[in-house]
Amino acid sequence: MTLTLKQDDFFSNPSPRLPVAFVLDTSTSMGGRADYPAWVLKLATSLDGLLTIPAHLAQHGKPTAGWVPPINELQQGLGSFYNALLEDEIARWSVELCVVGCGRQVEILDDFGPIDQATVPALVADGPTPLGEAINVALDALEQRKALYQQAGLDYYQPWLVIMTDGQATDSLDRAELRIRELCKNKRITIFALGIGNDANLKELARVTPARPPLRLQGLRFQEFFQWLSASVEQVSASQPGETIKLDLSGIAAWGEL
Amino acid sequence: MNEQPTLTEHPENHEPSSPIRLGRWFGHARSVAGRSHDRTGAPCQDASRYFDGPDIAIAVIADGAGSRQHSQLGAQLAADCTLLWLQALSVHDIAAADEQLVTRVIYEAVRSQVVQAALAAGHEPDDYACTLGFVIAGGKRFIAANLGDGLIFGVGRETIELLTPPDRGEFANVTWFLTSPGSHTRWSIRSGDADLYAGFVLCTDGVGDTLWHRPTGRFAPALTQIVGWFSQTSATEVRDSINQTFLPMARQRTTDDCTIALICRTVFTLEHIEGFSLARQAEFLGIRKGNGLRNRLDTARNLRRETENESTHEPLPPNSMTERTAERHADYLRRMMRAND
Repeated sequence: MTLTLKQDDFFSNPSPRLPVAFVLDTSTSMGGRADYPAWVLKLATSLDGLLTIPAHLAQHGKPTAGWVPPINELQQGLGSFYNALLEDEIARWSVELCVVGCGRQVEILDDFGPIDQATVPALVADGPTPLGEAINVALDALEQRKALYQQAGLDYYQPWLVIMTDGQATDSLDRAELRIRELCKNKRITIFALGIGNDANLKELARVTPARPPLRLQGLRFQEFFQWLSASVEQVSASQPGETIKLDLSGIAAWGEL
Repeated sequence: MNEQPTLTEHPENHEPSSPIRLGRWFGHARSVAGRSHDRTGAPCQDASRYFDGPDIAIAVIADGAGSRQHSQLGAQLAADCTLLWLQALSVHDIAAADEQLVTRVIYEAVRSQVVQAALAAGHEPDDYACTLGFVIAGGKRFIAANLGDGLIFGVGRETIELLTPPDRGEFANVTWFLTSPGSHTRWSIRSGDADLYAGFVLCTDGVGDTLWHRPTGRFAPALTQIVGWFSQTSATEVRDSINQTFLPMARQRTTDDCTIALICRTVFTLEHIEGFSLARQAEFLGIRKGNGLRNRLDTARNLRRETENESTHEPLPPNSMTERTAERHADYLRRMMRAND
């Protein structure tokens, strides 16, 4: 007597999903003016990128040999992050990514879907920093994804929202702040906010991350940040029901500071 | 995926009316560490137990909380204690018992034991957090109860029913444990006619999601097949196939620990049993091969003679067993017949 089962005698990939949404600052400053004095940035953003700032105004932090624009570092870090998830046998079936660009246009550069079918979006630095609008778009996308999981009967982990900016919002954060406070109060979201460079306004960023203070990236250590993030995401995707994940806070020292 | 399956109608289970039909329960329970444990080396945090007899069967599952340091100890202790407490029930108890009361007694007793064990070991009770689910079937009744995100299925010859659905919060890593405050209110409890089902299958959430499609309520064909296996071949072979085929396939589909516990009832006529191999005869009749098996079969034949017109049978050859031995075998066989009342 042979007792056998076929592959389609089971339902496949019931892995709980972990939706992760990124709000990435793709404003003009990410293209190379991250080290300009604050007043230059303020002038540039207030003029909505209409004014090309003469090079002689950049009295501080002029590009030196080998200098790479932050957007390029961010692009590389994001690519590594995608690859790390893809190579993780558990996370690849669980983690789903959405990338919202926050620049001249607020747009979803990569929408949620299986990681093995995702493409790393090309980031282009241009325009102001409509952070409020971008966060709302990301929150909407997370809500829609959760609704889809519920329709499909898929379990999911508490969604993550990662916000990265090198400046400050050029629009109102009020609505995004209200929504996030409500979500955090009910423990319905995990948020990481990261300032890039000295001109990132962490005080303002703290409005949209009430549960934990925003961090400042040390230099342009995007790779280190994304390594930490992928390890944290993989940890959650491999967690069990009832498990409260304690993030590797000591690992933050490799890339961030308060 | 095929249409919702039904248990394969097995000729041995539908023999025309026969004077002696013997039934018995077979069980199995197995837990294996999930793929997410491979890289960490963490132990399997699930536990499962079973008891199977001629007229009573019990299956228990417990799923230790992944975040708790010693939850595998909690799960093992909870499963052991639950099995022991349930084994105290007789067929008559099961028939008459209030399922809410049974569950409450089990809950209080097992929870107390787990909390005491944790404190005695210098741990917090919450370190032993685990879910718990059980089914006890005896005579014509069953009681199924579940706390947490495990699943209990009743598999009938024509239908499958999710007797207790998983109890989950909004997010995947949220459920209720034995040690959670107020968890006594979270039990899902069912009881009813055991004859409606050929078997009961319990599984923790990892395996459960491969067997039940929540949005449509459909059941995976594997569920019916493994229950049907017990009618087709020896329980030993079925257990091997569950361990070597079912669980590895389920494990490919989830990263979580994988646990299945099941109890299934099989019924055969004496004529069919006489056609089995000696090993399967011994397994089915609950006795070792040799004199014991021969005496039990002879006793069964005598019982058949008692229920039939003796003139239709040739006289039985003289049997050397003592009256006391014959009565012991008869008692056991009557329990098998009672399981098939």
